[in-house]
Amino acid sequence: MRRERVRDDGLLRLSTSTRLLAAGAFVSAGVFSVGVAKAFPGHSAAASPATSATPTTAAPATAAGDGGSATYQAPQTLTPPTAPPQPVYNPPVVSSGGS
Amino acid sequence: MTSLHAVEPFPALGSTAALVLTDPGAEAEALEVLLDEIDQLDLACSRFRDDSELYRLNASSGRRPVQVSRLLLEAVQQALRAARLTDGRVDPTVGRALEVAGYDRDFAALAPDGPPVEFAVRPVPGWRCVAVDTAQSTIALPVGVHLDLGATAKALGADRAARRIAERTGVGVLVGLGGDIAVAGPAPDAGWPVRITEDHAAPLDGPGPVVAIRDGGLATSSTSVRRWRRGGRSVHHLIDPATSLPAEERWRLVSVAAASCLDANIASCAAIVMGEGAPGWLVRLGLPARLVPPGGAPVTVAGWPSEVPTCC
Repeated sequence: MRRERVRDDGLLRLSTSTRLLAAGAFVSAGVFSVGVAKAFPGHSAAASPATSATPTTAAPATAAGDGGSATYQAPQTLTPPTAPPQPVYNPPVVSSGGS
Repeated sequence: MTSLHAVEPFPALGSTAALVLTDPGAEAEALEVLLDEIDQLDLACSRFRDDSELYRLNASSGRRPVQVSRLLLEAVQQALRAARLTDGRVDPTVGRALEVAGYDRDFAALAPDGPPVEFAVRPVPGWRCVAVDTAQSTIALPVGVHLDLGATAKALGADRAARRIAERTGVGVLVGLGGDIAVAGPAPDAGWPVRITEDHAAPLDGPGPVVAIRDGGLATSSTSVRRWRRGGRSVHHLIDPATSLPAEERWRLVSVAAASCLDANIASCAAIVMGEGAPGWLVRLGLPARLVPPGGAPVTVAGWPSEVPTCC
């Protein structure tokens, strides 16, 4: 009888320890995940401006120079005319040159 | 065939303003709008007038954000857009570099020659350091940062004036500010004939091809005009933001057509700074352009009419 009680007490302590260990591991994993997430924030591919050797027309989702402007709308590329200039033999009305 | 009515060009913004209309009856109204736009632009964007908003903003660098008008806000936002779309080749934070190079007053008052200047080869502070708060209509500059809106403000003004005149009068209009051309409203049958020249103030019967545009804008950037000498060295006003020095002259003249005069001028300035890679960049963007190297034949891209030599 006494040996059985000792065994049951031992099993109970082991069970309690296992539960406490599992709970502690769960909490620790959560805390660690939050810490890592804050230390290395993610970013989506679509929002990341790429740095390239040649100029691009893609605009970053948030440009530092825009100060986080939310309302300003402008074409996000340099836009061609509807038709290219045509050669013409009429006398010019104006000059385009350096200034 | 539409007959065109050209108002006599007049001095404005340190260069020349031009106004052409498809109906002479709209001249008075159109001129009123154009003069108003020029006045507003000068008061907002001049780097030299001590009563301008930009002068006040530059003088406040390193201090609290400065409240600005809607026009200066738009001009700075467009300048930052220019920087973003050109990977910083056209950057408004070249103000200090221009001052160091000697361009610290209205060009007409600039001594054509002077003592040597100490050029420091380093990148300009960069457009990302400019903090714009649209909601509060404020701009803040870090200490020592001065803006120059020379690469974008006149073109922006030409677009704004042409649009306003067309809306108000209903006639076709061409506005030129320092050679930056914007058109709006119904175009003449054969389009707007524009001569491409080294200097926008050159006589209309001078050398250079003539092309017609029907919409948007056309701008030309040149390293041949707005030059001065310091310590025997010839310098020009197109600063390379990567070095703070006048850009190397792979091209001395670049003309670009675009959906707006502003976009055309951004592209023409960027092409000068970019140098060798400019034709390919313009082709990728689909921007018709003509690039003239020093002492060489013009290169035309993206639908700009090619040229047949006409003389020897």
